[in-house]
Amino acid sequence: MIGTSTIRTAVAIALGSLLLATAALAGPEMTFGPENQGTLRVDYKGQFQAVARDIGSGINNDDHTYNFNFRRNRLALMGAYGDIMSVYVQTEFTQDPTVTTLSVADAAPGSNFQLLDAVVRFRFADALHVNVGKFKYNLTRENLEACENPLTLDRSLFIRVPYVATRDMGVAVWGNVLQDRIQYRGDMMEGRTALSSVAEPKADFRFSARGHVSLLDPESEYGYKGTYLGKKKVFTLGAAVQHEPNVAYSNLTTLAKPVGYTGWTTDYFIEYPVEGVGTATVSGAYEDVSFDDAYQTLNPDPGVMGLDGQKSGWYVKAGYLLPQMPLQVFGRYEKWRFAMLQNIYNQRVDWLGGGVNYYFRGQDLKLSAEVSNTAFDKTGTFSGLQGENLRTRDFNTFTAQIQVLF
Amino acid sequence: MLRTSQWNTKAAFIGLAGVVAALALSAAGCAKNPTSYVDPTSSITTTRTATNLIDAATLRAWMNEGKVNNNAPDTRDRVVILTVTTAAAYATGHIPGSALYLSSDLNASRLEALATLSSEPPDGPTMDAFLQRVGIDEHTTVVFVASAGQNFINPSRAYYTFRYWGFPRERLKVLQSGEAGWTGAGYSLTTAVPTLRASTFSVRSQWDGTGAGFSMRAPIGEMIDLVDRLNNGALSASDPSCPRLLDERGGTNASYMANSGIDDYNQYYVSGANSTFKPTSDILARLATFNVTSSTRMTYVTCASGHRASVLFFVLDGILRWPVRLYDGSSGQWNGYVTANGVGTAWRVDTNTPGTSLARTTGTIPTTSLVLDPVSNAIYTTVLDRRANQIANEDRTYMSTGQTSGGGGGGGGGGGSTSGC
Repeated sequence: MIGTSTIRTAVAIALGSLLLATAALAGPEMTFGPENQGTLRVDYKGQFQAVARDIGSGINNDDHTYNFNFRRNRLALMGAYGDIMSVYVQTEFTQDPTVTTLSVADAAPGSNFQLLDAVVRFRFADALHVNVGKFKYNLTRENLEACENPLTLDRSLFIRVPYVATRDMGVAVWGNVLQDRIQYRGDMMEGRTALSSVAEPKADFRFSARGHVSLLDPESEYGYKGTYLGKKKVFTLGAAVQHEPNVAYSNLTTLAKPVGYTGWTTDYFIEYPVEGVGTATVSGAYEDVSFDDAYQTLNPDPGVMGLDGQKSGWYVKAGYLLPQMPLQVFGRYEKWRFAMLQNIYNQRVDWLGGGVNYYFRGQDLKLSAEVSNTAFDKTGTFSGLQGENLRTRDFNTFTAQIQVLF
Repeated sequence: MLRTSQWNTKAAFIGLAGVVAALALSAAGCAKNPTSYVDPTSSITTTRTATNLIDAATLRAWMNEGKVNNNAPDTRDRVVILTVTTAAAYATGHIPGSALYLSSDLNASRLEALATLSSEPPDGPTMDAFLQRVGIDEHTTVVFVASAGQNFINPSRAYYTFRYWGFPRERLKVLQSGEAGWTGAGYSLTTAVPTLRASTFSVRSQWDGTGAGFSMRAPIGEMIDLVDRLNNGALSASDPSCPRLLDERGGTNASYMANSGIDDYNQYYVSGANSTFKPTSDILARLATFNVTSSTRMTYVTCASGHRASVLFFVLDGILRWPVRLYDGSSGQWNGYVTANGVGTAWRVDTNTPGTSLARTTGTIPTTSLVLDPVSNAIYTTVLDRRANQIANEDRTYMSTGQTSGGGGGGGGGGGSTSGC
């Protein structure tokens, strides 16, 4: 009979071997310049997923769907020259992520390669940073949390804003004041891509303003984290607003009534480690996206509706990191209401999920698993402004993910 | 072993974490609930009425507001007036702006169960052609009008037809007293025929995934099953919620479907040159004599060809908003399903309900000819065979796919609604 101590020893040896092995895979870093004032580092960031959903394929899409995909698959080039200037360039390669937020794609999306980030950063002082290029805009804390450091398996599926994804092009000014207790941010970004098409009333810039107050340890970086794994005691309150004027027509038929987009959010983040007890993390946010009710017209711009269109909602997530082993349990609840989602007006979505993170080597090697339920206020199959025969029904999703950073 | 102070620290931490979590949850969840948004299609804001029976003053107001035949591309409250009558009656005068809805277009000859029947609703392409010709779309409120001197049969049957094809109740109105009510209110008729903007609308746009409107119509299989359930005790007439069956033909008839309440469509309005629906209190009182109340789970209405019964259909669906189904086959179909016509055993109405000594039909069934569809008669051996509800199957297929043939299973007789009384 194998004793408990024997098993512990075997697991410890196995984990130790794994940690040593992965530690040997650290990304390359080089210096250059006459006084070695330039540095350049290359990182790989991969998140490989296995997804199972109880609908989405077969007749009427009623059968289970299983999918392997790269949720994230990135090469990041980080460089600095002197104390002021640095660059961050990141590529993204995804392949066949067919299981999406609300449905399963009816055609293979194939592979996609893009330049996700390309930003030059200037740090003139702690209170004055300037970012120029393509990078994350300053609205929600959730979007600003690093993709590799979420508390739950991934970030909110519903919090994105219209006409841009998670990054935009432009310039941002930000900094920390009062011993990093307060952080301010402001940006001027592209927003909806400027086109000569009549579909867009006017190609204006999008503006954001954001601030936060750190009541315990400061969060002084441009990006947040979903968990600091107990390395900080954090209590941060934040708020932001974003606006782009003349972003869409209320009525595409008559090209009448241009409307602007306005989004605002409030958020909080608490993480508190206690030695011997573990680390508790709680975070939440409210977000509102508005187009002045343009969705109510007969033929509105498609962008004012749907997942990223007019909506409001909130999420709360919580986690607990055990003290003696790198296991973190987490849960997330989201409640959203959309002006129109899959041809259904005033649709409400409740999302509930829970799972675990096991940190083999911090965030550098992490295994996550999550079970979630997506429930709709109204279900059925409807045709309309957003397409023909769009079916809405509740579903469950299981996702397993391995994350590797090196 | 942990010391007491360590336990206290842990307990304090866990307690604090719980409080913080609770505060955080409440802050995110309760401080502001997600905004509720308006469904602009679910509520007609300017043509909403308490019931589907409107008076002349209301229609006149809509006319004055420019809603009738409004061609503005972004309107959600366009009004189309349909005078449901003959071409000759329409030509003698009609409400200004109203279009002709030929009363002969309310029926179609279609295969239903074992034989073709002439009192069935028009099929999808026929409906679409008409809707497009008079410019009806999903944002149209339709007002059905009876010609001067006519009763409510035609507008009520038109109301049923539109309900069958999925139009939401609030989009359909019947004008109280018809043209007589209009002129009685001091407004004039015209002989001018309006020029209407055609639409591209299709009933397919109203497909809701189930074809809920088709449940407004009861096929003969469902009716035989209903009678059997009432006869064999599966449904108890003493139960206030029990489905009721009302025969609206009026007068004295040689036979009735068993368990029918012998009603008269004429009793729901003051008949004459100025037919007017009676006050709701009078309607409720009459229905109560047949044990039809707001608790009644379903009322089946029938007559000779599904026209007279449509008056009570409108009363129940449009005025009282109680559940109702129209058996549009009515006695014209029922009386033909007899042994002498070679009808398959399960479908014969001149027999007793299986397992009972109670007849499916009360009285002596008059001789009624029937040209059987031999294939249907051979293969449909049970009254609840879903394939035998060909009309609902075909119309559901058209509405969901645009196909005009096929159908197969899936229609259903709706017998489930009568179970477990």
